Amino acid sequence: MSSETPRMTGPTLKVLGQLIANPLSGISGADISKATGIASGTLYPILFRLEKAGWLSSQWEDGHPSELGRPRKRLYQPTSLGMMQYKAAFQDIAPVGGRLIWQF
Amino acid sequence: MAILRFIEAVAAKVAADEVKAWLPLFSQKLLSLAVARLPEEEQDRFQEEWAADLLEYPGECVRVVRALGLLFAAWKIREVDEYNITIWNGIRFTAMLIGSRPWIHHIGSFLLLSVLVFIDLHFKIKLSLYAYLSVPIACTASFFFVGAILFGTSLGCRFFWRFHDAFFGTFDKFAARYRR
Repeated sequence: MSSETPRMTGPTLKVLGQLIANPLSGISGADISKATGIASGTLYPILFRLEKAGWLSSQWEDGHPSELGRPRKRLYQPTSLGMMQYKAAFQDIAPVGGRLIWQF
Repeated sequence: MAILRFIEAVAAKVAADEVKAWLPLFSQKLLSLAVARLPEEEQDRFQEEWAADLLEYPGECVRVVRALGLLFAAWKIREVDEYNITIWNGIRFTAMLIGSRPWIHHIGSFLLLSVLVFIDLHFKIKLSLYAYLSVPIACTASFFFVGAILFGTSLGCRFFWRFHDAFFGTFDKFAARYRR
């Protein structure tokens, strides 16, 4: 099992940004995908890594599949660690000439 | 000429109906295959989560594309869970997939035929019957060719990476199919 800190790639930042935009209600993988345009093949490994690292948590939506008439969605929420990491990542980015660039 | 056109039209209609009928089953098969690739303790969770994910998309073609993505996601999640991603693992996975699931060979034909049928029906461009017939033949041949190359590469990898325990786990399952 990997316990490494996830790398802050562009898609990872997008996913974290989307999660932080919905911190209380939680958001499903499909909704993140629709909002960010990230394909399922990239999205779920990112969510899996972030959850293993403790940057986000997930839980099933309320209700039973038999009541809902469909499989339950898994809703993802950022943890305080995830929010901190997201903010820390943006501290390394500075606006230069109207564009964001990484500071080295 | 009129008879040929009639046959073309019938073939296009039959092909479109077949595609429409098989797509839901196809995306479900891909989902099952993806879930089976996951670590055992994660399978139940992702089976339900990904089934719900596919239902979020209304079109069957989109679901198939999404399910193909999930197959790739399953491979990457397994790598995250067990070992690092290497190019050899990628080759091994593809070889295993093509070798162990014969119907995978037909994905290319299936998608290309869908495109041809769409062009035919949507843009009213009448395509030759030979165009339809050549697609599955060419795709099947090319997939078998690629499969053979990947299988050979995987055997080579096993020789060079014999102490790489990450390599043996799934490779042996694949090799066992061919020993039977």
